Amino acid sequence: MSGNASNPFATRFTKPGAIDFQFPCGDSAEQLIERLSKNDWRGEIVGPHGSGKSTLLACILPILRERFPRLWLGKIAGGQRTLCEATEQPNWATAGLVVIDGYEQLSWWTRFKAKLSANMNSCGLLVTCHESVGFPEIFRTNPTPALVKKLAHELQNGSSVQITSAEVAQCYQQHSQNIREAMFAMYDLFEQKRQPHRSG
Amino acid sequence: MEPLISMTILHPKQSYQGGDLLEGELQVDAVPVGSIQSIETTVLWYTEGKGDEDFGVHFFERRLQEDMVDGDLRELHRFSTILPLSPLSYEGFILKIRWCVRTRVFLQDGRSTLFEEPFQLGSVAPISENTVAEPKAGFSMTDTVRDEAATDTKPSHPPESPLPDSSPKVGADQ
Repeated sequence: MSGNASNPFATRFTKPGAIDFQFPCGDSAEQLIERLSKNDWRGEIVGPHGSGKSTLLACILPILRERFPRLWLGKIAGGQRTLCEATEQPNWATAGLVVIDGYEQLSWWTRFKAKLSANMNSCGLLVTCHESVGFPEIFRTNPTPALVKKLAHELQNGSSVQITSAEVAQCYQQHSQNIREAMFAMYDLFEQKRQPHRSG
Repeated sequence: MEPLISMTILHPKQSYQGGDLLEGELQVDAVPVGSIQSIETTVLWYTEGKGDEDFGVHFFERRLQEDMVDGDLRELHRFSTILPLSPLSYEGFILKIRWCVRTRVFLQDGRSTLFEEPFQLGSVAPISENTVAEPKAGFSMTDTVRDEAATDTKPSHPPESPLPDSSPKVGADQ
């Protein structure tokens, strides 16, 4: 097989926004947003590391932006403790909805100010977190081996090199059910399979 | 109906070198006259792999319907650019650097169609286990190192290994 074909598990195909979020049967982006709306646009998306929270956000953001054209999105990087470290701070008065991905990484004081600002400006606040931070839970990401197998199958569609379902399950299990890390492992495995004389 | 993009790199080479002339031509069919709003042609590189992605645009050209005398952007169009010295195409394990010519056709109704033609810049060999050299002659291995070599592929003190030749080979056409 040509080494120049793309690896289906490369970041460009698996990053949030590149891959569709797979809602469990009976749920959808619209229903999630409906729940958020009923909670006065306050809510949290809860789930462990690499379970798809950012992917879910990427899925619902276009719908939210239609409702809140000035929506502010902040992705909290590792070690970042304040919103000031972002490229620009949210305008609580005009945003309508502030979305913070990685909320619990912020300091207690920053989180307090965020909630206070949201309340004072009647601004919605949607966050993602690994454990509940006290907002109404509007979605809990809970990946399953079957989901990961389905994603791997879809990503590999048409590829002459295939990672088997057993190998997918093994990657998922080895990485403590962290889909992101499992995808990285599948990337390595795919490269090894198509060019076995090379190693990572 | 989707526009049919025919794009060809003229005088194709297995790998180009920095300073080479990259020429191509493209034509659009299967759509009526006046249906194309603009056509963008780009020569770019992008990374692909496990980490963050990056890209760089070397050549960009946008043609609008009003730029054409007869308003027909479908006609055969030729483009060319002198390729840079870097970054070179690279097929690594974790990181890949790829070059391509990308054409995007924007229709009046808001739709767009994309077509890419990849090409290789430079001849950088990817690092493999085979590029790791054997220890130099006369190297005295202690029992500890000998045992490590017998049981593990990675010696405790990495031997000198020749770096892959990443410099462009002047005059090395296909």
